[in-house]
Amino acid sequence: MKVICDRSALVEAFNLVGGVIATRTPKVVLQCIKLSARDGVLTLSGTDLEAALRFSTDRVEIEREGEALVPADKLGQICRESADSTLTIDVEDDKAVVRGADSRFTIYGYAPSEFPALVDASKLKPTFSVEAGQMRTLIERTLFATARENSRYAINGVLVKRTGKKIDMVATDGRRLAISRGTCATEDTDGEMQCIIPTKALNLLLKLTDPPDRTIYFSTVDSQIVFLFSDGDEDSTAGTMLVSNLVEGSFPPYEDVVPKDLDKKACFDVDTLISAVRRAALLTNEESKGVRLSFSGGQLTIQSRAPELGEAEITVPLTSYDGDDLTIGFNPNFITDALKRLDSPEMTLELQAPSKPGMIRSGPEFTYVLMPVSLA
Amino acid sequence: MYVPGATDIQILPPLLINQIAAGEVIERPASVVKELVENSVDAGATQIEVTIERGGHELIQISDDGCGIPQDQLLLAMAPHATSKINKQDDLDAIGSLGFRGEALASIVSVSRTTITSRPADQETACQIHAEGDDFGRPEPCGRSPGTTITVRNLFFNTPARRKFLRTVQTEFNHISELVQRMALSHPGIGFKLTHNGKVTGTLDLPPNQTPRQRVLSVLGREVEPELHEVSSEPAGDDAASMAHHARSGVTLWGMAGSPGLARGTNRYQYVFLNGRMIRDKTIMHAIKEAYRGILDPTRFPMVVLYIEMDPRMVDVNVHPAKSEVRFRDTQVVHGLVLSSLRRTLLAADITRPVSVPSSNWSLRKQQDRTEPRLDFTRVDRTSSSSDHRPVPDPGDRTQIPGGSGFSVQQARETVEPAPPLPPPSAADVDHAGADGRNREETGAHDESPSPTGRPPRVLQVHNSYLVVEDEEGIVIIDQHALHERIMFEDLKRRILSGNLESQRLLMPAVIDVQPTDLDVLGRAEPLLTRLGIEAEPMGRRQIGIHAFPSFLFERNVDPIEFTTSLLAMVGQEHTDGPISDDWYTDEAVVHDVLDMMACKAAVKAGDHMTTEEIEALLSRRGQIDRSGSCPHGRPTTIRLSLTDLEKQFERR
Repeated sequence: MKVICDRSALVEAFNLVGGVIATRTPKVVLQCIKLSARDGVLTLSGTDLEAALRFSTDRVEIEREGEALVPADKLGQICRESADSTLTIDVEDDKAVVRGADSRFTIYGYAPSEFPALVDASKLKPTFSVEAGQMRTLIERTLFATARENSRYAINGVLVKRTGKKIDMVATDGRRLAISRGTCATEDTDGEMQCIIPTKALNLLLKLTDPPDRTIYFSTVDSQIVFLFSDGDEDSTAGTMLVSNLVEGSFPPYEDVVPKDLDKKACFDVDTLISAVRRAALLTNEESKGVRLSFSGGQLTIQSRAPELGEAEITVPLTSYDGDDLTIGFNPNFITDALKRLDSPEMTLELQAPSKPGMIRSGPEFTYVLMPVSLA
Repeated sequence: MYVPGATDIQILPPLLINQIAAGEVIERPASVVKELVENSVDAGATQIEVTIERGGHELIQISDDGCGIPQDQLLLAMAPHATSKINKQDDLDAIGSLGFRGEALASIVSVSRTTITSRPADQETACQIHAEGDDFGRPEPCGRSPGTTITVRNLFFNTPARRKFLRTVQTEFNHISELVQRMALSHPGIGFKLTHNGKVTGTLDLPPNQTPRQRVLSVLGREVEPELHEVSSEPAGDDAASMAHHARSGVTLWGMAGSPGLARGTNRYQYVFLNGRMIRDKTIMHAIKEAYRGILDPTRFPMVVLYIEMDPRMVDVNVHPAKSEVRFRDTQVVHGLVLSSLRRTLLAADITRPVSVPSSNWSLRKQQDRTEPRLDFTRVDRTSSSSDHRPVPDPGDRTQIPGGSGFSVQQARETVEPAPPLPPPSAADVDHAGADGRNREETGAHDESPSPTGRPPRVLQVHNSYLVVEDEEGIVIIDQHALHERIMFEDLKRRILSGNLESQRLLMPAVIDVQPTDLDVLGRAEPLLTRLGIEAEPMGRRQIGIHAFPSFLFERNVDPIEFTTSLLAMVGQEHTDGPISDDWYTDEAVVHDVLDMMACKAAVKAGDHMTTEEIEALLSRRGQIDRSGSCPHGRPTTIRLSLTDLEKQFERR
């Protein structure tokens, strides 16, 4: 295999594929990137056996088709450190020689056949697709609320639930729940699909949501999900592909958690509330995390107190308030985590009692349930 | 049991009676030394010399300058139940002397060849009497300055069974040496000299008229001085109420408590003296253990010397012939006094452990026919900021301590692994601490000194587990997990003393599968759980649902199910009956362990990378909290490698 490659394309490839590759693994082939030059396209693939990413670029001139398996970190470093606009990669007998204008590196690789086989994209039949810009919003509004570990439920990932042309993504860590709603394109208007995608795959997918008008195709095969990408009318099966194992287990019955009997409703300007909560959070500490929200006389007062540190009090104008006075404590991060991902200027907070959940909503696309803290 | 030919009941001959009595009192050469030295003390001696040959198998000789035994009473002194120390039943209620049973001398005489030479001060010449079993010689005049010498040869010569149980010369001498040390500690005013096979042992050539402090340092070794902290029942502050209380109770206490680094695997270095008598008392041992709770591994024993004085009428010493067990009229008062006095001292002391580095030019010492590496006891910083607002015991005038040339600490402190070689911080990295302008103005001094805000001048995280910083004396190495655990523990303790922990409610209960007995524990532990911010309720007979859990544990990624399961198991095991209180003071052991578990789970782990800000935050708290020198399990958080240690390692000195 011999290719002359645009260096910036290589750097982009390494930045993406490097995110998958396991850095600490006893299996050396998992520390490698697989290069494959065929039909005028160079593809670079990496995997940690949980997720795999194949990135393809046509910013390449192929002199001799072929494959190679090379340690990813060294090849990546050479590409990043180089100042050349193109690099030549010439592979023979598992030995890769990288040449620049003034440089020549020889890297010992492995037999390409040792690299685990990836899903054959040409055999997939994607059931639906989502526009990249919308996918970004769906992920950003849920990914933050996932848990790291939980013994009972599979909540260390985001639930994706497609019903016809509607797609919901749901995440929870047991203390708050984020639901983000969108639409998808599909021929299968009665079909349903439900799966839990690990956070690592979603972080990788986020990086592949540019440009926003690109199309992301969803397929599930065995216990894996496969994302294919298409910019314009090009064939998606040959290009970039993200594969991930799904999270096994059941997602908690989240519909039951969304409260229905909230009798107090406050409307806010998003930026005003974010600012107030952030400032109140300045005087909290690890053991006294909560801020106190007191709704009284059509006004909100946010108070915080950290023992041996000090106290804060901030008044927040309400756009409107409907209901009896109430004082409730929340972890300020839980509020700001959600608010900073909203793009509309207005939101509502609905409440019932100090020990009952609160609910933030912004339009029909976003619902967020958060549990209060007891205040000392 | 029927024994043919032995059916007649008869009164035993006096020798046999005495030998049976000796079985209780005289177990080994050290018991002879004990009884005779106690007699000398009771005789008002100011100087006692103990001479031993072959571990006491051959010869035990005690000489004193006490009141002596008049010529006409020498024979009587050897008779059983003969004593000058008490004479009526009322005396038993208020025993002021060490001996009183009138058994010791008779017992010794019955199992050895004994010679007593004695001269009361008002008698012109001394008189000597020799006895061997029940064969008593006649008193004969001889020359001696006032006082008594008792020579015991061939111990157990007539009781072969006993003799067979004697151990090696070295073992028996070690027992004697230990005993004389105790006697010396218990009577700082009396001079002691112990000789074995013609050689004076280093630690036991003690001048008379020492203060207790001087005596403790002479016996335990001056090397441990920096790690011994004075304990007193009279607080240094103006805690008038407490003083008045103890004055009323009639109990006073003085002593010295060792840093955790001096602790041992046995309680041999815990000396408790009650009215001049060495005792072993469970109540006091318990109080000591409680006082060290959280700063010392509970399986180890701190080095402690305590002198307790109380009205003899408040304690019964006539419990056991060896008299090491006592019964207090009011156990609570004694327990409380020991605990509070020790705690006050330990809180005020800086107990950072020095690293014990094997010195490259080991000074060898020869003691008890063995050679052991000499200890390097380095000075410990006493000026921790935590002592600013706490009474610090007066360290006393150290310059005037005479003698104490040797030391008796048998083993090195717990050996701390020598630190791995570290790259020296480059001079360019030095972020001079004095940069805080206010501090520089106030101190007007060295840029090098760590700023009083606690911000270290430079920090290195080693293997994501240890932090290495510089201080005035050298290098301080910190176990990040242990220190963070201690900080969290103290924060938690402070928080739960002032109210409930902040608790985060759950969207849906986290469910634990349990045994029905756990439900019982759950019911009894409810006040404690509420205090901790855990809301849990039974769901049927086999499950518990957690509805709320402490916010800070969530922040530290502690799983509610796993944590609550361990908590119930631990509480159920430790506290088997009755309701479990949330009160630190009533259920301290349980609450301590629960908080410890919280702190341990929440603390940064070894292997966790810490950012510079996190490290700074951690270190700045180090100076602000109590007992920062050890984690709640009692392991050290911090060890110090002093410049002196470094110089030794590099053979600069």
